[in-house]
Amino acid sequence: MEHDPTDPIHQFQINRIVPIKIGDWDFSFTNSALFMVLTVAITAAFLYYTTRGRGLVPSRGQSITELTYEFTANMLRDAAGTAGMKFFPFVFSIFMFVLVANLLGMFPYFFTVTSHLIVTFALAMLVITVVVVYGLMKHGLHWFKLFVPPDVPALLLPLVVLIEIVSFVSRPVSLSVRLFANMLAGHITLKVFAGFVVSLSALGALGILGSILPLLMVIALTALEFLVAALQAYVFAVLTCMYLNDAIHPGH
Amino acid sequence: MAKDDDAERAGPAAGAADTAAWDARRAALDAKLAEHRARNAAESARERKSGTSQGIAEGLKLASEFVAGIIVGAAIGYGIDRLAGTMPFGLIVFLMIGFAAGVRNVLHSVGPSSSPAPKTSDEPPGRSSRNGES
Repeated sequence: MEHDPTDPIHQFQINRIVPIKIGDWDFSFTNSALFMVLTVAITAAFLYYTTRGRGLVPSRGQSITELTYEFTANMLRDAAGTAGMKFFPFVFSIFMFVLVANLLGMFPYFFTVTSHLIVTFALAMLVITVVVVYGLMKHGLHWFKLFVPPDVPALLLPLVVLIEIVSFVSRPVSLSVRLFANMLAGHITLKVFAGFVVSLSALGALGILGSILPLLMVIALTALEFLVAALQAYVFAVLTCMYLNDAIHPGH
Repeated sequence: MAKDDDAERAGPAAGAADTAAWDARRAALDAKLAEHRARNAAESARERKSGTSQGIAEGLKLASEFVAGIIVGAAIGYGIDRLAGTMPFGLIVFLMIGFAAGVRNVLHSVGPSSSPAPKTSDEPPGRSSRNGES
């Protein structure tokens, strides 16, 4: 099929860069994998080079790193208390990965890793697995009290516990769907309005005049998308902290 | 060291006058600090209220919480039906439970204060009933 330059979905296509096949399994290095590697490499390189000097009076880059550190540390301490600080590397890694992946996706022609449900779902399952495993390790079977709210009549208890369990299982779903849907919808909207500019300006002088409106829209949407990229990374990290709090203090 | 010696030599009367003066000063400072804090809190609350984009984010968050509950309920119901061969009933029951879980998610994420207050029995009946309505 011929590739239409204004097709809004085309940007999410996965291409094999280095095909690798082991048995029946497809382990190809795709553009998605390439951008995940890029995200990690950029994050690690930025954090390493900005903290190498370690000046008492921080340079610009060092301040960015220190602000990010303090921001994440405060977020975790507010949500999960000082006992949660042992999860700081985990939360910081997730926050930086999602943030940098979202921002990388804002470059034209770049692939947005977080606009694929499977990637965000894997991240959310990682969080929930850590919560369940740590909760069971720390509190043993007492951790299941999380599903039994206090002061519930015995008659309603089975129903309430069932609802609590479904609510707990829905957490990774809502966590991953929120990030994925925000990135997907934003990038499609951006591409649709940019496509209007292209197809209208092909119509001649009047079309070029008319394409100013969608162009203004694209500019406004780009600003909004930068906001969404940062906000969704923040929301993902905050909810991670809140779920970790359930693993550390299941009582409340 | 020298200052301590001076204070001891001045005697107990001067010491009492000093403490009173310090207390008055501390009270004045406390009052000023409290005023400042109240003003800061009001300002930050106003700033928080004015963000439209944060409202959109909050709305999307609540919507996804609600939908996720229903999706998970439907998935569990469908799975049970497939395993046990009771086609519509598991789906019906677990859709309802998923709906309840979605509502619970939304209530929970709006704030811990919105969960049903367990201490209503301690309060006078008139007040607790008003709390229940709001």
